[in-house]
Amino acid sequence: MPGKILAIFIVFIVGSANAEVLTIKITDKDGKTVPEAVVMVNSQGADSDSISVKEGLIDQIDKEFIKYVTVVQVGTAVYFPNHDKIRHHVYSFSEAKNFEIPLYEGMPEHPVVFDKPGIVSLGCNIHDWMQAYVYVTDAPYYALTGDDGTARINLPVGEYAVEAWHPRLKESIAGVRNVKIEMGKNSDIAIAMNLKKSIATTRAPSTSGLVSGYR
Amino acid sequence: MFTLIGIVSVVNYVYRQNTESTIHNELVVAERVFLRLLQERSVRLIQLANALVGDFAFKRVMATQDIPTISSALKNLSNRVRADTAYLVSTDYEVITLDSGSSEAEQVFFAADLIERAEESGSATRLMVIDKTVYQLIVVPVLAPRPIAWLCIGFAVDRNVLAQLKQLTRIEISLLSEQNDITQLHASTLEETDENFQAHYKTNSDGSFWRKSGDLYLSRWIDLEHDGNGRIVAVIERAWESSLENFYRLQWLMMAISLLSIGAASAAAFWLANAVSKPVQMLVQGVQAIQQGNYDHQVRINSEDELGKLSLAFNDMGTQLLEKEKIRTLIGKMVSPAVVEELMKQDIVLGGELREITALFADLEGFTGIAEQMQAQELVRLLNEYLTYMSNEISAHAGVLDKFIGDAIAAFWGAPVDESFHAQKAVYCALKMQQTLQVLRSEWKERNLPELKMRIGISTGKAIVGNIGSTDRLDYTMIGDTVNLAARLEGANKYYGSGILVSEHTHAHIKDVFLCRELDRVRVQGKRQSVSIYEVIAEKIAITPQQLEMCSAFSEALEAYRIGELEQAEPIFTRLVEHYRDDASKLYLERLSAFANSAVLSPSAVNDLAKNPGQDY
Repeated sequence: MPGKILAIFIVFIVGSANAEVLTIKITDKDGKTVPEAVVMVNSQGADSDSISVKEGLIDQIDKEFIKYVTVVQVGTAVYFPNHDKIRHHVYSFSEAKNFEIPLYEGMPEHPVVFDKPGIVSLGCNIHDWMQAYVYVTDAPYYALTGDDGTARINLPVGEYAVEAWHPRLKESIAGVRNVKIEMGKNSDIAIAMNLKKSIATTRAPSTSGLVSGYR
Repeated sequence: MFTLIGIVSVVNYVYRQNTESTIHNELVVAERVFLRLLQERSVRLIQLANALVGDFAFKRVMATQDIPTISSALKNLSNRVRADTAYLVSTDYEVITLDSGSSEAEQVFFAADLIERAEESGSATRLMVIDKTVYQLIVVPVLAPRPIAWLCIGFAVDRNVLAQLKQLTRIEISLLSEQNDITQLHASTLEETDENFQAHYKTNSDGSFWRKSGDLYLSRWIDLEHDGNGRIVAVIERAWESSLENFYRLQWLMMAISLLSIGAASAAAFWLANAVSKPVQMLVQGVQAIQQGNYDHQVRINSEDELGKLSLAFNDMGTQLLEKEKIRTLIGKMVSPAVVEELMKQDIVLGGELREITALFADLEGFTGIAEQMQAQELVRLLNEYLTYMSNEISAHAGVLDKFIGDAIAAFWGAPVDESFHAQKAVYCALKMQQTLQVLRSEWKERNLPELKMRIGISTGKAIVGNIGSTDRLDYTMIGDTVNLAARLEGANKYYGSGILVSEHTHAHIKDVFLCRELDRVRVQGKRQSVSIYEVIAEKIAITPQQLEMCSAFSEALEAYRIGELEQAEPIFTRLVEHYRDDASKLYLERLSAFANSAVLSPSAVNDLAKNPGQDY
């Protein structure tokens, strides 16, 4: 694992030559910031070097998926380690990936490879409130907004199309925005999203106090 | 009885009102209960549905997208909860399948708005008419873990559900739907199958209305569901007659009670009349009898109670009053009624007072001798007759009859009641007594009764009058020199041959009214003072010339006698004796001759009464 992280880092440094920062701010219709929104940036012109990370991780700690939204590129293998003392049964009936890891503990034998782009909605069969999303994308650049609703992506100079997605998004995708990255200039764009209320099961009280439960 | 009728009517009215308002309140409560029942049912069914869609196997089945499999799994699911109908709807509001497996698939779900509501709140429910049946529809999402489809299950609201409510509240309930003014009955707890319900009824101010269908019902609408197409309503109602059962029972009871109480009241009144009113009436009669002076009226009440005791006491009282009356009469006979009055007025007291009175003594001449010659009964009768007449005269002249002493009468004027003309009244009385006796004499002569002649002595002056005697026996009488003088004067009549003699004190009071002649100057035994005595001749207004002549002649002669002119006196006296047969003049002639035969120089001016023989008193 540490080797991989190091690899990512080096690649970032290498790839950051000629890169400016694009700041994308996501809000909802009422103006509130939207954390954990997926931002995808597609290059308009020729393909550039894209970061491709081929492994991902979604944890289960204290009967919650960590994290709620994960963005992976097509073809990424994602591991689902179970850090709880009880078993979990991870499943998804999504068209992009239909899979189950029935009642296991610790680390499953094989990771799950997400080989189709799309939205994968995960759940745990025995814990109704456990939910997570994997957004499988084929965009070269992507990021998740933080708690402040903004994401920062280093992009080389060029023209790009920016899209965003959130689990509660009413449409399938929000706003395709064209942006031009110029030398020496940082750019920023804002996207407003139309979000619906969430429907979920209420969680049983937490033993560990981890932030969780329902949005 | 009128009170009873009034009470019954009021209670009647009030109870009816009460029943109506009670039923109305029950309906209001039943409405709340029914709505609450439905709500709880919905909540329960939603929970049920949510549990159902948690079935992982079913989620897997959904993922296969194999419609027949999904349809049979849906049927399986719906059987678990005894749902009457079930639909699976896609997130685009298209019907995926039905439990009946019919070919409604791919059509837009007929209750798409219900699904929208479920999207908002997580679940939704409503009542809906589907094919002439009212269903409670429940919509919940199939979560995997986000909604992948909507499950809609329906439970028919049929008679059984309504029967639940009726069991709780004893209210009849009918379920209807209204569309375009056409009312359709779907279920009812009522027995009759031909229940007619209109779309509109005339409602009271409290929202209830009357409905006639065989029985009369007090009813109420409950709006359960309404939308653009029409509405689903429930009618809750209570039969009026059955509610009034209690009331009729009460009414009958009240009737019975009132009849009983009328009967009891009558019996009580009757008993009361006998036990109380009649005796009271008898007592009243008794009192009235006593009012009229009928003291020996006896009241006869035979009961042992207070009224009986009262009647005994009453009779006692009557007896006592009778006795008192007898005593009073008796006393009145012995004592002058005036005295009795006075005595009654004041407390009986010993001792007396010194008053100026006129005392009168009257006596019959030689009565003892007459008495010896008569039979006892005859004598008493005669005497009583005489005494009655004389005492009547005394009463008539407002005098007080002191006492009878055998054939003598003592009386006085001027006490106890004040009397300014006591002397005159006494003398009037004396004259009248003599007149009356004169009339009596001629009557008695015809009856061969003895001739009675009366002598009267009257004196005026201070005397002591009062109740004299012991505490048990009192005499209202007079004591004093005046009294003695009157008695002496009465006796002295014999000596002078007069009828009425008065003292000079009396004379002083009466001389303007009566013609009198001074007869003598006397000294009563034991006394030093001498007193003139006068004979009363007649009332001045009734005197005859002869009487006047005789008086003036006598007084002339007496004058001469007293100053020693005996030769002057003698002829006058002689003439008087001859003409008038005057005893007084005769007496003076005797004195003159006695004087002539004695060695005394002049006749004594004063005569001692005691010295005269033959005087009896």
